[in-house]
Amino acid sequence: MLRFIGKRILMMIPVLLGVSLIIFTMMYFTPGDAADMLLGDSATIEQKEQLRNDLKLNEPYLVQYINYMKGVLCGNLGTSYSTKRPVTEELLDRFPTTVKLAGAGVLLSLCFGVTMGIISATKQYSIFDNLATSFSLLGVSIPNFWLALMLIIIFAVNWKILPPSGLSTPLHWILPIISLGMNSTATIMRMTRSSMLEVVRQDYIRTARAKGQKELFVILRHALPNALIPIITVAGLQFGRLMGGAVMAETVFSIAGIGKLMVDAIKLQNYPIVQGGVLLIAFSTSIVNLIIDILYAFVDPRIRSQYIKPKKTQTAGKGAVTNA
Amino acid sequence: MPEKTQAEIVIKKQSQMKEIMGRFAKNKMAILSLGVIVLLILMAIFAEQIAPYGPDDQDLSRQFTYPCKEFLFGTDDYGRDILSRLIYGSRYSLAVGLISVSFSCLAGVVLGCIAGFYGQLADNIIMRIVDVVLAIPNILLALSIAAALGPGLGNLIVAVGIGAIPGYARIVRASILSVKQMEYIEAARSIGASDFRLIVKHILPNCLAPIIVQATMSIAIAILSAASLSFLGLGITPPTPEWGSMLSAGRAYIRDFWPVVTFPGMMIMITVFAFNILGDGLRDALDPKLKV
Repeated sequence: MLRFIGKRILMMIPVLLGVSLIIFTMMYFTPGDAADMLLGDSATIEQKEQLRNDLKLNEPYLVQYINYMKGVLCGNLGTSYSTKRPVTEELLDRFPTTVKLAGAGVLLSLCFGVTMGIISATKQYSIFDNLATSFSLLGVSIPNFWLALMLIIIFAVNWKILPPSGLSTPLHWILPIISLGMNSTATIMRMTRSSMLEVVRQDYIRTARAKGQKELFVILRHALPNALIPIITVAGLQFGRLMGGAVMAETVFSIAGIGKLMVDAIKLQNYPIVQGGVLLIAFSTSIVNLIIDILYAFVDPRIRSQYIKPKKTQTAGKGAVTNA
Repeated sequence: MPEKTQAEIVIKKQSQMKEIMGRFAKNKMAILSLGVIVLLILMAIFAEQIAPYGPDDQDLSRQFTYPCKEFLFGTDDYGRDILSRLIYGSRYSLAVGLISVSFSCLAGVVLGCIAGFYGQLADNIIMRIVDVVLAIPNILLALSIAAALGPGLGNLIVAVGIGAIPGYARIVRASILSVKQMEYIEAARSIGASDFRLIVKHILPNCLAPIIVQATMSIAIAILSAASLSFLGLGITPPTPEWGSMLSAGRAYIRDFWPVVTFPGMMIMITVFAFNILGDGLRDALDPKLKV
C-alpha cells in the first residue's frame, strides 16, 4: 500500500511540472510585463530596462522558467505587482476560505446528491424519481453565478432573511454554498442513481431481501458500499471543479478567496498571482485525487488486495485442487 | 413467404441509422429539446426580423421598465429592450458554443487518433499533456487563457475550446484502441490501405457515437463557460448583447430591478438544458448501454 502511495505521489510531479510550464508559458507571452506594471506609465524606458535587468526578465524563456521553478520549490512564487507582498503569503491568506467553501460545497452535494440518488434508484419511475431526475438535469444546466444572483434577489433583497455578501457569520455561508454546490449535487445524484440501479439488480441483493432483511439495511449495508466507487470518483472530481468554480461564487458574494484574488489580479495584469493561484489549485486538486485513489483501497477489498502481497496459504492449495 | 420475412428482417437489421432514429424519436424530452435548439438557431439567424427593437436602441426615458405589452421582458438601464438584446445575444452564445466545440472536437479527434493509432511515444506524450491540462480546473484554464489573450469573441472561443480538447482526445483514443485490433482493420491493411485511409474510412466511423454525444454535451459546457467568462469581464464585454455580459452589466441593479438579471440567466439555462437533454437523448439512442 505504501508503495502504491509513493508511486502515486511520484506520478504527481510531472503533472505539476507540466501545469507550471503551461501556465508560465501563457503568462510569459502575455503582453505587458512586470516592469510596466510595477513602474507604471510615468517611468522612463531606462528605469524600466533597469528593473527588467534586476528582475532577470531579459533572460531567455527557459532560464526564466527554471528560475521560477527554483523559487516555487523554495515556496517563493514571486511578488504581487499591486501589493508588493510575496504571492505565497497572499495566496495562503485566502486559500483556507476557498478550500472551506469547496469542501462545504462537496459535503452538501454528497448529503443531498447521495440521498436523492438512493431514493430515486430504489423507487425507480416513481414521482420522486421523476422529480429528482428533472432536478438533476436542471442542476447541471443552471449557471451557478446566475443562481447566486437569484438567491440574493430572493433571500437577501426580497425576504431579507440571509445576508447578500461576505462570510462573517454561519448565515453568510448558506447562499454561497448552495450556489456552488447545486451543480455538484445534481452530478452526484445522477451518478448515485445509475450506480445504485446497477447494484440493486444484482442477485445478492435479492438474496438479502429473501433472507427477510429490512429494506433500509439491504440498501445501506449491501447495495451502497458496492455503489460507492463511482460516487467517490465523482465527488473527488467535484472538489477540483468547485475549487475552480469558487471563482464565480467568490465574485458574486464578494468573498476574499483565491478565485476572487485571481480575477482581480487578471484585471490588473498581476500575473504572478494568476500563475501561483493556478499552480496552488492544481496542486490541491492533485492531492485530493491522491486521497480518492487511497480511499478506493479502503472502500473496495478487491482494489486493496492488489496492493497486498498474496500469502501462500492452504486456501490457495485447495483452490488449485478444486480448479484441477 | 418465410424467406421474404427473413430478408425483411435482414434489411431491417442492416439499417442502423433507422434503429437509432427510432430510439431517439421515442424520447419525447430529447425531441422537445431538439425543437428548442432549432428555435434558438432560427432566432439567431433571423434576429433582425424577429426582434421588436434593435439591440442598441437606447431611450433613457423608458429605462427600467418592468415587463409589459410593449416590452415583454422590460428594459435595461439605458432603456434598451431586454428581449431584443436576448434575441441578438443568442448569436454570440450559439456561435461560441458551436465554433469552440468544432475547434476542440477537430483538435481532440486528431490528437486522439495519433495517440490511439500510433501508440508508444506519441501516445505517451499526448496523453501526458492531456493529463496536465486536465489537472487544471476547466474554468481556471479558460480564465488564464482569456487573461493571456484578452477579451473578444475569437479569444473567448479559443479560451473555451482548449479546455475541451482533452475530453475528445481521451474518448477517441479509447475508441480507437478498442477498434484497431479488429479483423476488418487487419484486412484493410493487408490490401494496402494507408494509415490515413484506415483511420478516416474504417476506424473513425466506428467511434462516431461517443464523439457525437461528447460534442453535444460540450456545447452546453462551452456556452456556460463563455457566459461565466463574460460575466467576469474576461470574454465579450458590454455593450455587446452577449448573455453573460448582460448579466454582468445588470448585476449592479439586482436590488432594484430583477428583470435585468433574471431573463439573460434564464436564456442561458434553457439553452444549456436543451443541449444537455439532447446529449442524453443521443447517448441513449446511439448506445443504450451507456444510459445513466
